[in-house]
Amino acid sequence: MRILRTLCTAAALGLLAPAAAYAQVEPGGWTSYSPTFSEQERGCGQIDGLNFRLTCSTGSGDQRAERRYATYSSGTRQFEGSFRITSMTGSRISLKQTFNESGSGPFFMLAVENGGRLYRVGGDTIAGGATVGTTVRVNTVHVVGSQHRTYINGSLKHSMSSPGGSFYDKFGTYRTDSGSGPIQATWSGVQFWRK
Amino acid sequence: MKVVGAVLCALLTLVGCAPADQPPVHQTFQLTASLVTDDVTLRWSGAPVDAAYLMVEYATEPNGEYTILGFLPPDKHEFEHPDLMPEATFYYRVTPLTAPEGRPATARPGAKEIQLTWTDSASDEDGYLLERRRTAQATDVAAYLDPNTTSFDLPLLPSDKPATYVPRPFRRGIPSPVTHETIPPE
Repeated sequence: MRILRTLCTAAALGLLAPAAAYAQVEPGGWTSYSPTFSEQERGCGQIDGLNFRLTCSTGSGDQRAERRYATYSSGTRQFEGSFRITSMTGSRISLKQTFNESGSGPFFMLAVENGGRLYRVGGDTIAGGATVGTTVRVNTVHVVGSQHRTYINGSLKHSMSSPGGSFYDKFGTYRTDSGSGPIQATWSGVQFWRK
Repeated sequence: MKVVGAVLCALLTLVGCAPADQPPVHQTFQLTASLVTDDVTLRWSGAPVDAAYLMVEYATEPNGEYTILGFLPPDKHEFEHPDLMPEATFYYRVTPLTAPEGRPATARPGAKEIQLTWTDSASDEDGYLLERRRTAQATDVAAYLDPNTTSFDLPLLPSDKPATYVPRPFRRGIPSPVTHETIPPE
């Protein structure tokens, strides 16, 4: 019976099929890649693996706990990651940025305010209040020099045109100009693709 | 070869070999998906009658990490997942959550949040659903919390109306079969 179970498990997992015939992980011709990153802890920002915290309620100064990924300047890039806010009594905290290195700074900032509303800093609501404690998946697709699209839980929620230039991805927790902590968010499933 | 594997698995299932890596699937709980352009509509029937909520989830890989899309009351039979990413395959399942009635949490207003505490009265829960009950509005799930949680600071918006918050320990039931749709190119 143990052999039968092993065979069954292998078949269910597709291990009896040639590896090349297994389902393509990235759709649409995407190629997975792993850009390098550095960590930024400033003010009351703290990073522990993929846990990002702002521990203070300070409404001024540079308060951030973020990962800053390597710069790109061409092609189409996709970021995917899921965040779960485990506690938040602060508000207006940026969770994911696409930063325009050759421009005036943040190009796209996805932020959360108390109640769970996701919005683009300087723009409108991107998604209604996510249930606190649930995981929210974020995909950004950036066609450099053309368009930047944001998907929340698989659904397209925001599109904007994009200039050319040099950009990089950041995620974590970052106090916006009108925001303050504390907040704790855990990220998971972070992946990058390009084509 | 893949077909051979599937046939082999089917044969082995007939002799009592359930896939070891798959959760059990509810036999009468049926889930279908229909695709129009880039919108998927899910419809289901046969959900357990004792469910407090139906948890709708999606993944983008067959055995991928599932993400919660919503907690629906058990009398709902449909859910729309709109404007989906092109050329991606979306896998769906609906899981019934059973949750005994709870007692309202003790509430203490904070500066920008409400501080809630309660006694953990359950011993085998998969987590807590923090229910928000308001006059003349549908009850909804305000927070999805870990097992053994006994307190939570719920952030509030200035526009939030007074509410009673009820923590309900929940258990996951047997999910529906998984269904999927692939979104066409743009």
